[in-house]
Amino acid sequence: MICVAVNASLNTAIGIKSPKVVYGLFHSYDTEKSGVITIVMMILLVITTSMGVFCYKKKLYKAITIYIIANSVALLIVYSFLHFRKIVQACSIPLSLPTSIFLVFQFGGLGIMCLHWKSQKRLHQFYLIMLAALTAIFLLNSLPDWTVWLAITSISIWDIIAVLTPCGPLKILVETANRRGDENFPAILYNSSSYADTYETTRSDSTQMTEYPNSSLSMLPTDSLLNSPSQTRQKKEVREVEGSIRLGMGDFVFYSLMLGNTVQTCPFTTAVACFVSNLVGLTITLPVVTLSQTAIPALPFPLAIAALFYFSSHIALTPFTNLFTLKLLLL
Amino acid sequence: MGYPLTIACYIASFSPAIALFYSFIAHDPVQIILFFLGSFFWLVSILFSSLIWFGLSSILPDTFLISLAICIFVQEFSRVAYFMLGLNKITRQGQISVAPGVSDLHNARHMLALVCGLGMGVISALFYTMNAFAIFSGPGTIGLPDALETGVIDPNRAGKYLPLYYTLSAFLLTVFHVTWTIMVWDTCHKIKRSPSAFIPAAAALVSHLFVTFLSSLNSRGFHVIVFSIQFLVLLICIAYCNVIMGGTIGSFVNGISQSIIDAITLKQIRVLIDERKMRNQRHAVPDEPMTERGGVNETGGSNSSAPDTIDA
Repeated sequence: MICVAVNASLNTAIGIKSPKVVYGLFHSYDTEKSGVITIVMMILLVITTSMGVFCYKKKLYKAITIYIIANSVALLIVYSFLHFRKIVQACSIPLSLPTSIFLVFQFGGLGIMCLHWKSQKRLHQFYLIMLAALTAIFLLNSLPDWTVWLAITSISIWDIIAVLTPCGPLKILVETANRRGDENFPAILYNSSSYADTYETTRSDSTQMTEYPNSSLSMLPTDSLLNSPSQTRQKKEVREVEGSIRLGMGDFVFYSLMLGNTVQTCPFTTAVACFVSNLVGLTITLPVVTLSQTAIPALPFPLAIAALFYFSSHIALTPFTNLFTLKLLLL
Repeated sequence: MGYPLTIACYIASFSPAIALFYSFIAHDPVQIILFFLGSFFWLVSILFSSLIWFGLSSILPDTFLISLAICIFVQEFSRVAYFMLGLNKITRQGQISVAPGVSDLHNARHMLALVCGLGMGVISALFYTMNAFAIFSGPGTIGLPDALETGVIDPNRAGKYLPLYYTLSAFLLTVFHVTWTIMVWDTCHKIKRSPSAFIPAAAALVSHLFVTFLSSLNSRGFHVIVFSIQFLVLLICIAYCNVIMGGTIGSFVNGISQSIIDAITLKQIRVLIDERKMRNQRHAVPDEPMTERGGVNETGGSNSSAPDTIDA
């Protein structure tokens, strides 16, 4: 049951191979601006999350729905069009504008229909992962060098604060939803149900169609290349309801972000190590949630293990394995 | 040398791993998690040994062989650590329901050992070959610059067979890790009951050390000899694992010869075709119109359907 979520999260990081292709288009700002950008991003994040929870409490559901639909449209059509053009350019494939518009329209249109209306379970999960992957690629292409790791550490701290402390907005959200008996989280959570029977799946799909994970991005003011006005907000909740695991979309975004950064800057073996450690961290976190039956931040632990592997690989792992593999020495 | 070489190398070196994965692991999600946990334990062991190497290399002048030996010991230790982690989960049934379908099997603990070993083997082979295969996909020829300079092809260097050697090494690594894990876990299972059960683990450690130090001859050019001896050791290890799991040497040889004969006579394909034919024959009955089938048994129905099919 936990495992289906893990299986699906296997698809997560695979979508991040494309940063390797667009590495050449990566601007490199000065490192001193990284801190400023991180602080700005964090402030935007806190404001957006608080506003979202505020709207939820005051029952302004329409505002949330409009916001989420706008976000997914912008991400799935506008940003994927720009990114697609970049990839095609990097692979030296001559692709005309009408063809690319057509293809992106197919992809984005199907995605929007999947997310906000009825769809099959696997397709739905695929598009959720696509959302997270596109968000991560957007952030990777527009952030300076060390901002990713600074952002990851600050987001982990914010995650712990927001979910566990009594005044955190995410805790308020979970408690309000529990009190109202409202399972209808519009497009914020990744739901992985674990039904094996197909008939039951189709029946339960129609009831769970209303819960779609989504995430809203915060636009960085320094970004001038991409004018997508998408706002991201992370909901990092891991809850277990009737045998299914729910994971907040923000978790996926930051896992993908970390993995994309690793692919960009390190030899690929480090990326594999970070991927495996991420997965194992998640596998350890999920049973903890199952046993404690509360919402727990799913972000800090896997990212901590992955960060450990990333930094130690720079110092020790890569030279060590290079010693052996270069001489065809079995390890 | 191009992308096809890279793809071919990956396929060739990981095909036994993929075959084992699909037959034993892919159907059960819990085993996938255990597989990744195995990879993680190997990664942690390599992390520790690399940190030790990093510390030692600033103190001692020549740390190569020592760090290699330490690395192997830490790997075996992590195997035992995985066993400690897993054994508690299985014996205490009250906790999280781990391995639901596996504990009923006859060879359950060997299946789990296979899963863990495969995890370790795949990640070690990946770490071994990934950088080399990535370089293969770019431009260049191995050994050409040196030969251009000296004007002589050095017979001791790997030369044009380098991708082959990497592929063979990765294949050996994967299967070796599976066998070593089965051996070590067998010792861990039996060590409490009879103290003479340390033999499989000792065999695993000795063969690991032997194979690794043998492969250090690779850089001197004795590639063919090294690989032949390593394959021999692999066969011995596999036969030993078979004996552990309950077979005998005779049944092992029998099994291998039978599977070779099956491969040559394409038995699997014949079995598939036969099954499909039988399934079509059984389902041929519902294709008839309903009036023929109502109240008539199968043989009567199929008898009366024969003229229809001949006419149609």
